[in-house]
Amino acid sequence: MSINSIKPFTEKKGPFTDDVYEPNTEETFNAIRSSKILVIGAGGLGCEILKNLSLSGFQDIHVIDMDTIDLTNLNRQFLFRNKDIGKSKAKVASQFVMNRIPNVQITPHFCRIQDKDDLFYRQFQLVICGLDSTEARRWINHKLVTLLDPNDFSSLIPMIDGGTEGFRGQSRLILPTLSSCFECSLDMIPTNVTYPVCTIANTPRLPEHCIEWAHQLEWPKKFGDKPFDADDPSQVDWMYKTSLERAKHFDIEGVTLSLTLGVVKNIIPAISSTNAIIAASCCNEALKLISNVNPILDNYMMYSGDESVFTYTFKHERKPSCPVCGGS
Amino acid sequence: MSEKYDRQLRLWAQRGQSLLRHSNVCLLGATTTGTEALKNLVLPGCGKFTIVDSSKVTTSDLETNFFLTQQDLGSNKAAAVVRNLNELNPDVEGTALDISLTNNLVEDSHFWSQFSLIIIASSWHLQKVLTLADTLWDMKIPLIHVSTIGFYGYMRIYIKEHTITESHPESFSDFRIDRPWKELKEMSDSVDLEADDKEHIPYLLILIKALDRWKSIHGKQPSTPKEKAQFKQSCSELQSDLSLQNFEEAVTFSWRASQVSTQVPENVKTIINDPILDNLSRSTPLFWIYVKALKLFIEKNGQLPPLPGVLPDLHSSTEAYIKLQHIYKAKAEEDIIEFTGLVSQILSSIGRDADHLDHDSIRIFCKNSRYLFLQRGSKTLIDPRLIRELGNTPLLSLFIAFIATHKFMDTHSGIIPQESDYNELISIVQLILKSEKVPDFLSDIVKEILRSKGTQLHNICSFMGGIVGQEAVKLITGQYIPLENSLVFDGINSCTEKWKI
Ligand SMILES: [Zn+2]
Repeated sequence: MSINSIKPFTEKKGPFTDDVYEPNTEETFNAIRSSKILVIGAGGLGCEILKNLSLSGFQDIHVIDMDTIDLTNLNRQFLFRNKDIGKSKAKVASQFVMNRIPNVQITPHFCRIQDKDDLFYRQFQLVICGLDSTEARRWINHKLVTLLDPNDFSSLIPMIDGGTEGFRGQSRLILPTLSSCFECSLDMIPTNVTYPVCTIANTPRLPEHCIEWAHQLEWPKKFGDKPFDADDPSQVDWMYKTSLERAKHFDIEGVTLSLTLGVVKNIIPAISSTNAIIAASCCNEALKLISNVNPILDNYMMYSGDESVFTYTFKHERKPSCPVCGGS
Repeated sequence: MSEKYDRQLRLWAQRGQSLLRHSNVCLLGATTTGTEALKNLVLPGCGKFTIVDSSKVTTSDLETNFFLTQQDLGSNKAAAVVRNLNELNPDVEGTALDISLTNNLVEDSHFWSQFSLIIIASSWHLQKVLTLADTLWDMKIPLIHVSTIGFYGYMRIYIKEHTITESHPESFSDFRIDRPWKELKEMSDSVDLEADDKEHIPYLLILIKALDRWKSIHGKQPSTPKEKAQFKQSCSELQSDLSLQNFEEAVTFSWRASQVSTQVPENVKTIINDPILDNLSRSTPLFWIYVKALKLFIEKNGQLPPLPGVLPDLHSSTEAYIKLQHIYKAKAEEDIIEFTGLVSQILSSIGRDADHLDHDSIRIFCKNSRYLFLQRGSKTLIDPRLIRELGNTPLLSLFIAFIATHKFMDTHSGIIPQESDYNELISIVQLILKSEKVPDFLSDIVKEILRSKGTQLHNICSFMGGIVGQEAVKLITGQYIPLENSLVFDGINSCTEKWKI
């Protein structure tokens, strides 16, 4: 039983535990086993989170993801194999972990987070996000604030949010309206690189400018309202060739298929080690939050591994003017 | 093949991937932490791995190790973990060795020479870790020691020398505004800041002109903060129409005109003055041959290293930008040719093959010549000077508590200290501190370690396995800057601290 690993901490107060903590193994085990946890995202972080929660003793986990498995996921999303390409990430991941670890129930939801109603979200004690989309995080962050009844704190659903990019990542703990929320820190989220349309149209200098010209201006001109599908190889090929033509015309070097895909899909580099670190941090906080055996993160940890190893842990302050959690 | 690795190739490219693919990583101890570290090497496609472990799979292993299953109970742990990790990536080949880490094995340099990196994932065998570090030292094979107890993690990298050509700086900013060569000077002379198309002039050219004017008045580059502010002011007065983005960029980046191109960073200065350059031989790594060439290049070129030739985006017309880019690239190519000549001279002078040069690695070295890094490690566990810092760095207490716990376990055949061992553990701490006085925070950490009864929490194992995997990738690919060289993780406060011992 995976839950046994926490046992020593439930038998004795530690030097750093909260004053109110009363060790009680049975109660703590029950709390962990009966907690309903929602994991949002079954990608690089999500696979790690499902493994970590199951090996921490949690037994009632739900996971929601609208994506299907792609070949480029396999360098880090370790619950998927070649034969799974094209299948639902949420379903394959759940099945794999349940086969590996006895007594854990993982319920997959192969849909968008917006497809679920308030009743669905109200059933959870905790939400853990392993997403790469800012929009999805804003949506769930807002949802959890709206679900809070200020007169009934049992309606509070904490959110643990992880994110990675290359060798860097962050994990944070959000207690809606009590600590800073995702929206409070929106200015810390790096925005996607964008190029001014006049540069793209008139004075291209970089290969990226040529790709954006093909993507933003030539595609609609040629195909009208038909949306560009970056997963269709023939469409990607058109995009690459069109960009390359433009680059040649202006004597610009550096348009490659890889760069074309990177720009049109807004690809973020991703490696298994960073996902492992951030997901482990998220689940460590989840276990402390539910078990109380040691204090929780207050409230933000940044990790950077490209130049040595560096973490910065700090309290991100609420923004009084936050459109989601600010005001009264 | 490369599509599967697309998301990481964007970080370390085919060069890094090729080194990873040809690597052979050895894990000593198929613990959860060690297994998690290996997982992070198998997924990105390290070529081979070997696990050395003679123990059998127990139920408590199943509780924390994801890569062990019910069917593996009672079988050899190395073989079981290899089987379950192999399944992750068909490109990777794993081998299990059901042998124990004897003193003879630890000293068998022939055995260890087959590996590119070794991970020892155990809280005991401290003496063996140090002996192994010694065995590996002159072979320059990195050894990573990692251990986890309760909410805490520790890791240490032992390596004699590690050199980094591709440290991946944020940008390559060497533009020679103070030292424009002939073609660059001609282009800046040919532009007119008052012309109708002045909004198309790249700001680097504007700065070259502005610095020229400044120098004709002041006789030298702006260097003091006051001069730099004055120069910035003079840049903002170049153009009455401040909405022109290129002139705006010239003001924003005016500090670049006070950069002295002949100054190379301290880390590079240290490298080119390393005594190793006086004793180049047939077996000297290529890195040092290139460093020697760099030293000669700098001497011959008025203290200027090779130009990276990388231009960032600048507001300008396509024509002006491409023309400027060609000028920078042409100069970089010229430098590469000269540098290559020096490399082949050096190789011939020490009797090595100078006909088959690795032109790709020469290009990369030239581009990165201002961003080279050299790390030299140590074999000692702890630096006595560190102990003075105890009051200022809270996590140093955790570091010392780990060393004490490792020492305890090593003298008790791997038995985990219990609460009744508090006094003995504290006396080891006192020996390390060379003082009777143990700070409260340190004794609290010792109490927390004893409270854990040696339990392995999967999250902490996975966190440390993540860091070990990441540092291993950096060491194997020779890219990015690895940890130097000791680190602890406090999972209660979610923070890490590191020290170079
Ligand atoms: Zn807010």
